[in-house]
Amino acid sequence: METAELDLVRRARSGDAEAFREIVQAHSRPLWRAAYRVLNDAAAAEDAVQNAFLNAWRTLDRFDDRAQLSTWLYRIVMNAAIDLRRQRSRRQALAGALPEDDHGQITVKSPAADPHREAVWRQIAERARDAIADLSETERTAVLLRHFEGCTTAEIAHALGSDESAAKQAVFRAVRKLRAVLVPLMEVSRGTSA
Amino acid sequence: MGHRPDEELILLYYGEHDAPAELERELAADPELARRYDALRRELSALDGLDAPEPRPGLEGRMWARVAPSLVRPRRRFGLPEGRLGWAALATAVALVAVAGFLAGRGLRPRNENTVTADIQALAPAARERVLQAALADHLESSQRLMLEVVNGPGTLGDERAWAAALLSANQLYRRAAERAGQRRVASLLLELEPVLNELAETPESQDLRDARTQIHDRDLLFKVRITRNNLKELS
Repeated sequence: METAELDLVRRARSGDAEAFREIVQAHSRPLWRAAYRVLNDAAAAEDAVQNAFLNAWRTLDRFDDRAQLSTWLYRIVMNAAIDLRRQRSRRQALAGALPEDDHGQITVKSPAADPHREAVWRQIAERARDAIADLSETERTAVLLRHFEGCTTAEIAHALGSDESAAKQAVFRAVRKLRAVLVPLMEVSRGTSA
Repeated sequence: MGHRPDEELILLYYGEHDAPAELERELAADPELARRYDALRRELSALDGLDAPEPRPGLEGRMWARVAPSLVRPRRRFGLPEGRLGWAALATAVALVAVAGFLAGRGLRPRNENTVTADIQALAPAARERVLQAALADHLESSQRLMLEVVNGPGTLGDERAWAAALLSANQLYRRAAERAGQRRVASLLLELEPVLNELAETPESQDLRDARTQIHDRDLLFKVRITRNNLKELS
């Protein structure tokens, strides 16, 4: 970790709120994007980031100074986002509602142009989110760091506190599980475009 | 040409294969291998549909405004954090005991539960309601923080056990008070909280928290506690 960031962590750990404010300033945006990928809801993503920062503040003494602060925070925000997603899913199941973003429109990027294909891609994205939520914490962190953050196996291993072989296996397991969920839907998608 | 497992194709996709040029030559020469790699790429590309937009401007400021009021000094390594201990002590010793005594002008010396109940009942009804609502909202907020730590934390308990134990005693007092006051919904929520707090207070430090997490998830406790706390705060 860079000296300046390490200094911030140490000051925050000793109770310096101003130092923690700088950490919040620097990491809010990437953490929000990570939470949004899981939640597809801007306001809920802010809730997840808030929970993550509060959790980080309380557990700063467990942070290993040799680790990357960004990946440590990433792991915490993923847990917070998954927790909110599960709560929301239960409530939506009760209410019979579909998951939507805060403007009432689902904002999934898709290669589809026509409404039917859009619907299929929305379904695929939502199933992908469910599948990510169902991964173990280690698998989820590993594959999201790999796929979205472009982290190397060495960086993932550091974030997980494991060796590189274990990190690599976690990515493999996660990809295998995600594919098992996505393959049938992708076939439907291909069928609709045929 | 040997069989290439999916793991090698995944490494190639993410740019971490040890010998990418060799594998790419095989892909060009082997239609079956190329078909498998195309399928992998297509399936993983579905994850790209989860990319996020930019957040609304001012996220950093909003986030600090939300986080700052809850910051208390972090824990000492071998003790409870001051904020948590404060809440726990407030909940157990102050909320039903000292607050009632203090507001009734009778000093801060703790007394037994029956005396406290009598003190609370001696207050004007509106004041009594506000005192209990505010104290209970604080208790629920502290319980929510503990549960968030359990759900998002590393999976083992440290000094949260003592925190949970203090909240458990407070919770029992509040539940009995709520039952006596005829606040059935509040009493019911506190009754749901008790086994979780008990589990956390009793869980050995090295044991994982799966049972407690399951209870929190299955009973939707974080949601229920947040809503009840918010309602109480609006009333008090």
